[in-house]
Amino acid sequence: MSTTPFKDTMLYPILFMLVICIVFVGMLAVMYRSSEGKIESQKLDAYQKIVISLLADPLAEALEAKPLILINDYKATYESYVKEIKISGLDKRVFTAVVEDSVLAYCVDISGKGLWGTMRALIALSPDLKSLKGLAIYDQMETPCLGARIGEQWFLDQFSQIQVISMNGSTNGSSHDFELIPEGQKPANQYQIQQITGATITSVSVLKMLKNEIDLIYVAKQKQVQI
Amino acid sequence: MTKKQIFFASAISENSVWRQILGICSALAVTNLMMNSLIMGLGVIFSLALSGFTISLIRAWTPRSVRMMVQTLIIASYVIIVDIFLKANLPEISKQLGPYVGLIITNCILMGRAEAFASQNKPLDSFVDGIGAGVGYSMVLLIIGFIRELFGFGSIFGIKAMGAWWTNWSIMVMAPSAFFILAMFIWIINVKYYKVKG
Repeated sequence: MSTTPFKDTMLYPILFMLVICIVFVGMLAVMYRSSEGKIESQKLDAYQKIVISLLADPLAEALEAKPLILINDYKATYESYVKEIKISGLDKRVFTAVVEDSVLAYCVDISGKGLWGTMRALIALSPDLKSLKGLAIYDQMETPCLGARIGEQWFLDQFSQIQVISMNGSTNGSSHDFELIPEGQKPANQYQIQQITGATITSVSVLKMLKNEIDLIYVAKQKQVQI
Repeated sequence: MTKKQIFFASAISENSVWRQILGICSALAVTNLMMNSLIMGLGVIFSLALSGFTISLIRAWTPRSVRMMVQTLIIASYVIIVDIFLKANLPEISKQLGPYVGLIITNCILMGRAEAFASQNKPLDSFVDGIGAGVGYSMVLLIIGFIRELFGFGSIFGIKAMGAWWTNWSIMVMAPSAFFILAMFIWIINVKYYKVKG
């Protein structure tokens, strides 16, 4: 009777692979579990900081403080002056900046389709939801160094203090169209947005996302007011 | 070979990037900023050294038929550890590096060193070889990153190095610039260090 060493049997590589998998996957599971809380807390911190950055100007005006101080102390500012609310018919996270029961601005979590995947952003809107006060893109999968430049401050700064819905905006509210102009060209009006060179699809996607989402938000809020 | 010789062979004379032309993808992708290059380099050094050590440690028991699967699993585990560490402790850098940290798994240098060195040498030697190969790779990344960040953003490690008169070169921010710089770099090394004539 021939005795094949166990290492040369068909079973050995399978068992070896199984043991290695258990050891390394176990090690990763422990590592992930021990860092999970920290990762989630980092995400939450970053998110709250963006919300406060967008709401800093109206809050600073009402509190007679400097915006930078509010941003630096974003955790306390968020807890004291920001409330998450629900607008019926709108499946989005909506935050309000409230000082002495008066709503100073809205901040809404929006999303849209980019070139490679979903873009997620936060926008600040005036209390009547007719003016766009600011934009921050916090999650995107666009091409590094091209489309990903939508996160650059000069690009985002173009979306502040824009009257997106006319003052006599009707209940079917349709926001004003934006127009893309080449990067570096001086805009003739607030609706002209300098696009990212080499990332036309991403630039168009940002505008489309803004228009669609602002329209949705405005209509939902109008319906809620009527009810 | 002494540990010192192993280190210098994998870092300089047999450098993975300029001698073996490995790890080119990430060398092109993350070198627009020096900080990204440094963190990527540290991630690769960590993964290379520990994966080399582990692969070498279990080499006597690893069946030949599944050795590459085992190597990939070990490399992937260490790379995921780097990814989790960055997400938990350096979220900004983790965001900037994006998918490239995960892609260290597919970096040819790691599989190359695992197959060519770690699977045939002692654990400590493999550890030193991993550090050497990682340092050599990081060196190239930092040199390319230095040129790209300086001309593309006018800064070094985020600190402004050029005056207000400087106009940033957009091409340096984009990946094609890394192609030109890397090619010129390899050319200079080949001519000056290896005395290649052509």
